[in-house]
Amino acid sequence: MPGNRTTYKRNKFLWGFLPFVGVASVWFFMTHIIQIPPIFLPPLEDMPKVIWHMFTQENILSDLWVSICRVVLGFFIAIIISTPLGILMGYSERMSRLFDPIIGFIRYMPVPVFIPLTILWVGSGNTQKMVIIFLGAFFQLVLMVEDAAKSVRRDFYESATMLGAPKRDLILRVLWPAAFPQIFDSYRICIGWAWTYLVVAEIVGATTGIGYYIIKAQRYLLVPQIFAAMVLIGLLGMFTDIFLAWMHKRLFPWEEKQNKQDI
Amino acid sequence: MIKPLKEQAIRLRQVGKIFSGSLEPVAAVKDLSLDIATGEVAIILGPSGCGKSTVIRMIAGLEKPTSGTILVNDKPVEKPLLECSMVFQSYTSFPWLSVIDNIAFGLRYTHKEMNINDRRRMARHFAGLVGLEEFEGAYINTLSGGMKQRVAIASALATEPEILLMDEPFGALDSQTRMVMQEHLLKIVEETDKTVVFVTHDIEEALLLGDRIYVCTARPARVLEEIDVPFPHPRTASTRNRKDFFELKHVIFNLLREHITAKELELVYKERRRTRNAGK
Repeated sequence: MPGNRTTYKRNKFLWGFLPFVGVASVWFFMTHIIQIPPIFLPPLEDMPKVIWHMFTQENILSDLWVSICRVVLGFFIAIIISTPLGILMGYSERMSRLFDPIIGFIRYMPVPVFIPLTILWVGSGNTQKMVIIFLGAFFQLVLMVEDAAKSVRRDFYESATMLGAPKRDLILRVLWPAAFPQIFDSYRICIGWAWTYLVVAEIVGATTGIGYYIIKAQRYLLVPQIFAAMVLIGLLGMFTDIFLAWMHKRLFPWEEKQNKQDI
Repeated sequence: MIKPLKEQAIRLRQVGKIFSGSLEPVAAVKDLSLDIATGEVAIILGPSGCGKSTVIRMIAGLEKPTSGTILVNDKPVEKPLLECSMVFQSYTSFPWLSVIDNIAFGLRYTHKEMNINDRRRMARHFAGLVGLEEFEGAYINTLSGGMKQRVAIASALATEPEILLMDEPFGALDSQTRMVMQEHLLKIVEETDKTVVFVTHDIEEALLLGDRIYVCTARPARVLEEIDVPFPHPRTASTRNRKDFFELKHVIFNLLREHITAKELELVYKERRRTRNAGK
């Protein structure tokens, strides 16, 4: 481990800031020392100015808001349907054998292929974006939820049964609380993919949203705007992740993640 | 004081269990017959992997015997019964519940008339019984192994079962903790008149806790010898120091020794057969 151990302990939050400094330095090096033309890589120090311009002049906030709503709603629907189905498949071998093959089959179909189809079916509005997000997230989520449900220790069921719990309570009072932390983690992982699919869908056919903004900027060769939009998406993702990690801690106080050893 | 012998709480008649594994069927238990009287502490003692866990799991209703019958209070066991509670070797208390809610878990089903406050009050009593009153609000993963098993014992006792089934409950504990836990259990068992079935491979544990010991052969499990433990009640840690404790320990060890070596021989032959076949 590089650096001083005590400095690390004192500045645990700044520690995660270091790679950002690294990336920024490389960026600065490229534009100012190697002098890559701004048309390929706009200078870093222009970013705040560009972002400010986007918020004040180009109303990027409404594009962002539209995209956030699409992701949240589409992903929410995927959660609502995939969670009970995944739990059922994790609990009952019969259900798992019934649905595993078809889900494995559809899961490997590249989601972007569905974009032209869904535009044909439901137009290019919000519904189509949410259908794409749903398709992208649902089939992954089901299998991850199933896996979480399957990894619940068998002796927990046996112990609950010996204490008098009937079969239906095994799902509600044992499987659910035992598997929910891991299920929640799969939400956290999958929502990242949901963002990717959204931007892809918005790039291919849309009139609003952050993806549409990027493709518009590309048309006019506004490279700084493309970079700024990517930075914004990154920030949004990072804050989502921090929020969900915080929620995880609040929701599951009994789950103390094993502290990783410093090597 | 000798406990008066009452009717038989548990009867096993010619019980057999064959697991149809992927390679070849394995007979875990064969022609096992034994009676356990109400209020007695019966120990099923045998070498590791001899099928004794299967026996207690069949009594609990978690496994079905492939032959023979098992009666609990003269009723055949078809599913887990409310009059039986079980303590497992693995720590089976639920990590998402506090100590008190773990202990209260079963009361929802066995004491249906109780509301949550009554259940917690009752759970608190049992937490005190196992010496965990200070840890009522703690989560399971913050406790030591011995404390986890005390939660499991309290959970099992809280439902007020007639029969307490214990499948090597102290098997995963270090030897000092195990001795302390044995004394804990001894105190609890001396105070109640519950029927206890206790599976172990530890001879001293068997002698300290048991009224009667069923010494079992290695797989498939069968009763080799039935031993009445003569030590008077109430027993304490110092029971371990009796002269006849050591003598009985030797008798049982000698009984088991040849079966342990027999098991080893069997494994040696199996391995030789395997390598010979692989060489072909």
